[in-house]
Amino acid sequence: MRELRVSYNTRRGRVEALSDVSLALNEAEVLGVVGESGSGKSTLGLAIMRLLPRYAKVERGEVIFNGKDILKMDEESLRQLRGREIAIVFQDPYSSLNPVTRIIDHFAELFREHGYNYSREEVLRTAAELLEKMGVPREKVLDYPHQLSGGQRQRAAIALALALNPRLLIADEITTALDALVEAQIVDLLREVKKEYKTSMLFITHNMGLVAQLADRVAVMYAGKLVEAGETGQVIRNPRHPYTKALLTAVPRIGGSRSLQPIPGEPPDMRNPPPGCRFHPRCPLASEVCKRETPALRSIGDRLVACHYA
Amino acid sequence: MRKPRTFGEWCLLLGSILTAATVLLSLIGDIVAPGNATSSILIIDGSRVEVPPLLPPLSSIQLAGKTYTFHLGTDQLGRDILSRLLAGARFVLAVAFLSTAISSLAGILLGLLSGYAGGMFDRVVSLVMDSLYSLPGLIVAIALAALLGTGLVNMSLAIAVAYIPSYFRMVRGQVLSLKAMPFVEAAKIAGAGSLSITLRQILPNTFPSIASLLPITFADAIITEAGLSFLGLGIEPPTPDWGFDLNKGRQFFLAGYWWIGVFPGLAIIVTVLGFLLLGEGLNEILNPKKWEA
Amino acid sequence: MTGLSHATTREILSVSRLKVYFPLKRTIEEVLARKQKVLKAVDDVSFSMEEGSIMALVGESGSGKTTIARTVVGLVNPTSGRVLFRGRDVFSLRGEEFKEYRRKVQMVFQDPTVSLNPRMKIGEQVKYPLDVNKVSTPEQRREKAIKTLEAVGLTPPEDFYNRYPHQLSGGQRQRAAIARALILDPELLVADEPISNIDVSARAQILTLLRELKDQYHLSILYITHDLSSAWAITDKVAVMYLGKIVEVAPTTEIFKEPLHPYTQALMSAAPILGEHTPGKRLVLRGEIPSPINPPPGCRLHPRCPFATETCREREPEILPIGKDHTVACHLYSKS
Repeated sequence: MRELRVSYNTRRGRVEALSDVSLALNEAEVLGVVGESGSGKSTLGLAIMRLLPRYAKVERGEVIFNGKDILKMDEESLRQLRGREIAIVFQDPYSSLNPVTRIIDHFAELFREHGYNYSREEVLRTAAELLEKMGVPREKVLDYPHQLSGGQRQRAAIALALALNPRLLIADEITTALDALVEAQIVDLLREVKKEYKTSMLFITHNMGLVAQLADRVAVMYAGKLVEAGETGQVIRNPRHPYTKALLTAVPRIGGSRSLQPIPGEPPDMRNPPPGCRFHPRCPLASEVCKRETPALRSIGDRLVACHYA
Repeated sequence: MRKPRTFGEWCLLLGSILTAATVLLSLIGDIVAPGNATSSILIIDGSRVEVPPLLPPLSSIQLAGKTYTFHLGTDQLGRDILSRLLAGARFVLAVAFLSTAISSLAGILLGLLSGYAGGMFDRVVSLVMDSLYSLPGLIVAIALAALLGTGLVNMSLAIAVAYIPSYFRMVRGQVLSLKAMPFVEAAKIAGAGSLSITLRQILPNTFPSIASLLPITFADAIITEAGLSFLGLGIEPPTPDWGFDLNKGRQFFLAGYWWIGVFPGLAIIVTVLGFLLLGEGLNEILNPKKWEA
Repeated sequence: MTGLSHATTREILSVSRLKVYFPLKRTIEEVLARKQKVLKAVDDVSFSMEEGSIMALVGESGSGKTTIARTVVGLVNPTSGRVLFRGRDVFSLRGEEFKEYRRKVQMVFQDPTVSLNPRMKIGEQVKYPLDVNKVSTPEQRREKAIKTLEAVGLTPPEDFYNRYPHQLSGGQRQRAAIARALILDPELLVADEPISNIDVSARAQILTLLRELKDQYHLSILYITHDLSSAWAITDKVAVMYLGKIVEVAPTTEIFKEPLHPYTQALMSAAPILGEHTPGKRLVLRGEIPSPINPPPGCRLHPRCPFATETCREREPEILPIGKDHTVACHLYSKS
């Protein structure tokens, strides 16, 4: 993604959800995108798939996949891309699964749409196998989504997403609505998928802990901007941006100190974000230059940071 | 105030202008255009002058030495149509206002009670309301108007009953879903009783839906009133009334005296359109839809 | 020393053999067969809380923790068992006494977007409990509302008084909800997952606030959560629940250091940690939580537990004391 700028046209004015964001994802790599509400992380996933709502506008930028700019693709190429080359799974399994369609029919439709002329038995076999690989009992392939448990639904959605072996899987907060143990299971599953299929993943979440377990690299977003990116272990051990530091210390570590270090202030109003560095009202290091100038994304070794003081 | 951006905002603007104009005209009408609305006699300098009937629009004639222009003509009894329209506006709007007020208050009250109380009371009242709702409004109004008789209040009552179920259903539905909301539970935990919860917590949340329904009821009431008076129910001549005039005008239309019926008809259309646009505009503002962010 | 500590700390809340069952809609066959399906949300739960402490009820969905919270505040009636507030059976109180109980126990809900009335000013909502209970004069009520808004960090309070919920951020809304819960000067605050719907950066703010307010207002807090790290940060005692039953209770420091029950161990080891992932230390449970309508017989965890034995399938484990203040309900620890 290069210089991606996306805005929403709301009743109360224009909201810039992504401000000139540039990110790269390598093959067979899991990139964790961490941010809170308003950071733009979900907009990123939707923009890549060109699934943004009608009132959203991509104002500038490119999304290059396999050498081609997705944003400039025609409808036909886009249709072939979605589901086969790039797949997405959402937080709500009912965004990925149609409640009145049996699981097997989801697969059947997918195969049909992309020109695979499988017979009914072949679809059945392939779908059941995929489900089993994702940890869902084979029999469930003939069920409706509501007959599966929450975790199974999400696994089925993942199975569907991976059915055509896409090169990129976008997971948009897929575990946020799940119980703790199920969440851990899904993360384990994704690790297995990464090992076996070598799929690249964009793992969007607000939970740094999950990123630590799954992602090779992490990108931290705040108020529509990328503030830090780098190798996961290093970013967590040695965060450079004040926001990343604050995020890491805001969550108390079990077994560690019980003192809490809250981040002062409130998330910015995205209709009117703070001038200069958007984090400056809440930053312990903020100075005059932070209020005036937006820090550019600089590389410090392997790390990208957007801070005047990094 | 900025330029309207969406369909709803245009509706709001246009609707507000039309309804404001209508109401204004109905109020100051006889100051602006005094004329003989209810009889063919015009008092000029103390003497009674007979106005000729069936004058076409924009006719100017000499009466008692002065020139008078009848901008919309006169009807079959020599009454100035323009003044009749304006006076009729007052009557029509009064009926619409009264019936809207009665139906909304009754419907809201019953909806609140029924929704919050639940149980057998709710089931019985809902049954009655559903039955009433299934009958066409005009039929209900006709039946009641025939029973109650003529006059402003009777007419308003007859029309109001037909709209009570709309408010009932809407408010009851909202009460049912609001009852389960955590902020209502929080009120209970604070020790609030049913009355307080219903009035202070639940009722204000129904206002947006009610507000967008009111203009629509108003518009509907105007049409129903026109329908009743068209059929000769509810009003007493010579009270000016658009529906009544429309009916009378119908008879004279084929003879070529088109203005007697067309102008009241236009008045009905424009007024109803104004209120409907207002209702549509309000609806969009107060109940924003998902795809408009 | 032990005798002294028992004399100085009082029990503020005690739940004794609480059962909360919900009848379910039946199919025609079930009606004809005279079968009544029942959801056993809380099934024979007992625990106690000391005054001035923060106790966590930890569990996943279907554990019954939210039902307990709602029962303690009086929104739900128990099927059997007792809820004792300062020794008195809450559900035997009538009239004025029950109203008094209501004032002393308040709740903070999970989602402040729906726990605040969207069409009422913040200040009016915070003041509302005072209006309802006709406390002092209208001017004094407003004063108190303003003071409470300030106490929860919504400053300038006069400004926030006049705002509507949609004009506040998630964290600010939750503060307002907390202010509303505190305005009657309660003694016990039941917080049902108060930070789950708040942004990560605001969570620490809310947790810090709860800790401070506890001291300032001499509160006891029953803290419901599925998130272990917040339980670690602010609570004194933790009770872990699974499918309507308590499986383990211990002081916070102890339960995190030495979780005894397999379910607790699984929860602890699944919690996303910021260190490197260490395989091998994980206790993984098979499958998912079964439906609370048809819980497994015997120990409810047995279909998923790697240590399950014949006994586990047949008999429900009793609550066994292990050491000081640490209890566990698991056959692994029974002497026989």
